[in-house]
Amino acid sequence: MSAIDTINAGLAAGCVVSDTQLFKNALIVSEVRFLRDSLVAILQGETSLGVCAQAATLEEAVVSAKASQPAVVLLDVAFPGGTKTVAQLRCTLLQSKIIAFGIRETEEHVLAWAEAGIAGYVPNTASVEDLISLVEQISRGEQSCPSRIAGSLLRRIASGGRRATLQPESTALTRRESEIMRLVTAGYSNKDIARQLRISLGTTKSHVHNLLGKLSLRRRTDVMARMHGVRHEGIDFDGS
Amino acid sequence: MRELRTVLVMVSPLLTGLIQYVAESRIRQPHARLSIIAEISDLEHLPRELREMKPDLVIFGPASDAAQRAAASAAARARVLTLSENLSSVLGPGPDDVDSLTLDTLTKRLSDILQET
Repeated sequence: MSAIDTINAGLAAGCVVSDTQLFKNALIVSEVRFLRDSLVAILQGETSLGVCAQAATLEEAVVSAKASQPAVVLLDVAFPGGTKTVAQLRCTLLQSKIIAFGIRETEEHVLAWAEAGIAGYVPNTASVEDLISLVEQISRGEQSCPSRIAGSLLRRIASGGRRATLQPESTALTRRESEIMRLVTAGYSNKDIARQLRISLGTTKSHVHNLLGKLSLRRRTDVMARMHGVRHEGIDFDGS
Repeated sequence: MRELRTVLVMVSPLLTGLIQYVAESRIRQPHARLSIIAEISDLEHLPRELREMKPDLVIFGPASDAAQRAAASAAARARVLTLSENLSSVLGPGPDDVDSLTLDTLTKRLSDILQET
């Protein structure tokens, strides 16, 4: 039954159809089988969500998502790839709300996941009841969060997402550019990179040039500084 | 009805809820039930707390070896289950008991312990 059918059925029956009833399916993405299975059982029993699928790998998630176009994706933040997974899922799931669960509720972590494109999050201190309530809230386009997190989000918006542009936009990089970024960060020279990747020096220079342009940086040492800064913060942007 | 007095150590609130779900929805034991009497996240006083509470079962989330040793000595008569770091396995109560952590295996493990009590 489509969302419109649900509304019509509700109206025909003379009852009010809540927003959450429109969200009929969800996809749970986690490597941990116990989490997937028990969340499926609980969400199906306790909410209006009908869990359509679960996935243990990104490949499974993409296949399931393409087939079922879930309204909500519950993504375990421990999933390999970290925030990068969100961008990969969003390429497939343009209409789905991605909810990250298990987030450490620090400003750095919440902002990093927000910038990655989640619709909402469930902190790692949440109980099952909290999770259910938050999933329903986020499905309605809402999000409860501590005032300090709200403040950080406002400051970030006010600054025009300046920090977002300071962080590596690895999703905008090609796979080759990401590889080269790692090698640059590790201190490799262009010649070393060319040898390592078995490409010409000219091609390497071209990739490095594009990489710097995409990151709005001038020198390779800036790439190193930024990536070391990111790692220092303990945020996993690329799953490495 | 007999209660299996259970202490959870270093188990996240979400995981606690999932264990409770297993205990309440999937275990069919007419004469015994799992009862969570405490959730401990501070290991500093763990041995003393376990000695005082005298639980029947201790379930460790991703816990350190030191914490497990402390628990084993402080709650000698308690059975101990440990959930592995990546939540892929459940270990215990016997030293050689290792299983994949699934709804079914946890249900069976808890049912067996309840049956024995």
